[in-house]
Amino acid sequence: MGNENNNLKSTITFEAETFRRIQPEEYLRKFIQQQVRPDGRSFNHFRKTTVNLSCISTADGSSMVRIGNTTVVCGIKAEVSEPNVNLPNEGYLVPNVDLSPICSPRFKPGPPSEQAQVLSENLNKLLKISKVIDLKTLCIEEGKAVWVLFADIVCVNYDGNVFDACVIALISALMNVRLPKAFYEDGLVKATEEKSITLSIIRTPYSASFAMFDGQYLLVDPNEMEESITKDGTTVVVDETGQLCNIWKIGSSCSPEQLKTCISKARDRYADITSIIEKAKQAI
Amino acid sequence: MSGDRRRIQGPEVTVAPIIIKSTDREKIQLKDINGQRRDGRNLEDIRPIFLKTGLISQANGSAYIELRRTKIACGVYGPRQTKIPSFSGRGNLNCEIKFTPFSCLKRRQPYRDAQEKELSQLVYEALAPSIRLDLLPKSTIDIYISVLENDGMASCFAAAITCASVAVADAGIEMLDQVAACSASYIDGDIYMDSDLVEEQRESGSLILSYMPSLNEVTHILQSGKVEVSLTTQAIEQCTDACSKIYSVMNHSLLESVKNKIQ
Amino acid sequence: MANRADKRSFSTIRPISISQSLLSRDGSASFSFGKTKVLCSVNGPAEVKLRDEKLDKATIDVVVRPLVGTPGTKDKTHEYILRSAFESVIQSGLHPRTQIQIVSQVMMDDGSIIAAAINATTMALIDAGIPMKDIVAAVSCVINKEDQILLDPTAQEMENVKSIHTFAFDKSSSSLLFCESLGLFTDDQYFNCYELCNVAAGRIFEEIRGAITNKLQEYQGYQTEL
Repeated sequence: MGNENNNLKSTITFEAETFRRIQPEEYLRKFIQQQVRPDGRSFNHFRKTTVNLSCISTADGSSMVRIGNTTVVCGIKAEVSEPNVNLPNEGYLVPNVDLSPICSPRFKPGPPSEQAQVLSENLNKLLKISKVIDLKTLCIEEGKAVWVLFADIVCVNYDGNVFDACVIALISALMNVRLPKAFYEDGLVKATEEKSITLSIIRTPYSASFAMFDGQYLLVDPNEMEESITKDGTTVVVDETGQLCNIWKIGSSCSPEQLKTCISKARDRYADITSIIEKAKQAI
Repeated sequence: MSGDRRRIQGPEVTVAPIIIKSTDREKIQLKDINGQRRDGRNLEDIRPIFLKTGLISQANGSAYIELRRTKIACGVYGPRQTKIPSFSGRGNLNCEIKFTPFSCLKRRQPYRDAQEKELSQLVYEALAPSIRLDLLPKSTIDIYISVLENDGMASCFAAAITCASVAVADAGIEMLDQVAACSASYIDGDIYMDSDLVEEQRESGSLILSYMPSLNEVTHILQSGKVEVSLTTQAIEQCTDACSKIYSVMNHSLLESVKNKIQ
Repeated sequence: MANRADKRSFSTIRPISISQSLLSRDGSASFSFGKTKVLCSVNGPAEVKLRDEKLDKATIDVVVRPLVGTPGTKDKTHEYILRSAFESVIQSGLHPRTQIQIVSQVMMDDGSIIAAAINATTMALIDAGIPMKDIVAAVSCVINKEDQILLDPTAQEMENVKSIHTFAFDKSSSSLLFCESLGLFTDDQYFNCYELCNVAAGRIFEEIRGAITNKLQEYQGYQTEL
């Protein structure tokens, strides 16, 4: 780094790692000016994404998603409960994200951090308002018993863009759910040992996230370092017809043109994720 | 638990459905006439181990272990400065084991329960003698273990200790030796090494041994159930043998990670 | 046109009322869209807990209190939204190693609560005299089953809709600071909502300006009396 300052009289030279530690923003800027990111990616390059289905046999549906180093595991457990009095034929789908201290030094043990709560809330809103699954299909006996799907998403390795990973994990785990045949008998719900019933999924939304640096450079799929420096995030969720399901933008200001770029990139990304999940389905 | 507003809430009471079983668990044959178990192992065999270090990029050291269906991830953070500003000549070791809600047959609650607290304490007891905490004054080492899938509590616990020990070594923390752990179940007068969940449900007792193979020292023994002394002695011997085998797997995975780091 | 329950046209916002300096804090304000009302107080720059101290700027702490009960995931999300929207406009670099605390209390939720909370916070920060690069105003809208865009929806209008949008803009460049859009919508619908809310945000800036002018005039009148 010192070479660039040769015109200065006194040149301070230190390791790149030291520079990153003390001036993270300037460190990132030096890379961005060369049209490259610190991990060697170009601005439009998503990290390698892999999906593994049915990886947890104790869950009724499960999926492990990796985006670069970021790793999340989603396991869905089905239990039985009485339905809400106002909605006697609707089941429940309860998504929760756990950012446990194992995945990054920034999380402490104890109740969910603010970030985990925001992630859970946003996933819940996405599922509810965009109607990903028809909750009526989770009914066992109207007014008496319904399925409750607990979708717990655990982050094992936190390296940025966890929301995208969570959405892919949740949707692919829902596709992977196999429920037993259940029937209601004298106040009890009995179920067959064989699990074969799949969920009817109305919509499969996937998300793409971006970070804006210095108000003009759009970095797709930011990693942990880029996220913490830019403190900015745009997430666009689209479904299979290309319809928008969710736009979430936070942090510094941006223009409608930049949003349009994000939307078109999110649509390109959608096609990639679909093919990755198709491959994962065949691999089971 | 209706009070926890920091999570998305489901209905207040949920139960697992009653499964109509076609075959009775009690009638499953645990071993055939040749002494082979359901998965083709002999009584004294352990399951094949997959062990890999360095999967958590943000942690100082990490490891992932898989014994067929048992899957555990472990991350080590530290040695880092102790938060409470009181002087301590020895390093602090903090172990936390967490079962993910979907890891067991029945769904676990997401908050920390009594069993997790107990197991965390046991992991601490098994690992503490192997780590040179006397070299790390005013520091804390945090070991976080996350059980992704649990196929038998005793074997899962043993795997957690093995995994944590490799993760500590991966973090470059000075140790006397690595700790390998193995479990055994007593079923109808036989010793089943490294039993899975179906076998564990039929056991009359179990033994979990944590052992430092190159020092030939035991760090922790947990024995439960009513068993004859001779059988216990035999189980301890079989466990130390198995631990030596596990030890070579641990060494192999650490060597691999060092090779990768050099490249 | 006027077939909304409260006889408004689709693109009008409810009557806005702003009051300032209500509490014995460094700054406070309440903002309401019709029945929806949020009370916000600002304290700071004040001493910061050692744990939260930042060496080069002020720590911005946001607490959102719901009308009843304890804060849940929804309130945490609102805290996160408020904090990230205002972190980019507050000149926190002028007050390093201090804390600016924003407490947002929901008084009544009749739709568009986030937008009201953002506007109340802007007013309270101005009232507290916290240096800012820009001021922020937010508006919500919904697209109903008939594909009509309803600006500043009430709680009743937010039920059974196709999509819900909330936008926050800054004043000087009128560019987007925060956006949350949920439901199902097309690009055109999204940008129509964007434009509509951008225009409506202009009205809110006028209201804010009016409120500050009034307050200053009162203050000057008070001073000349002395």
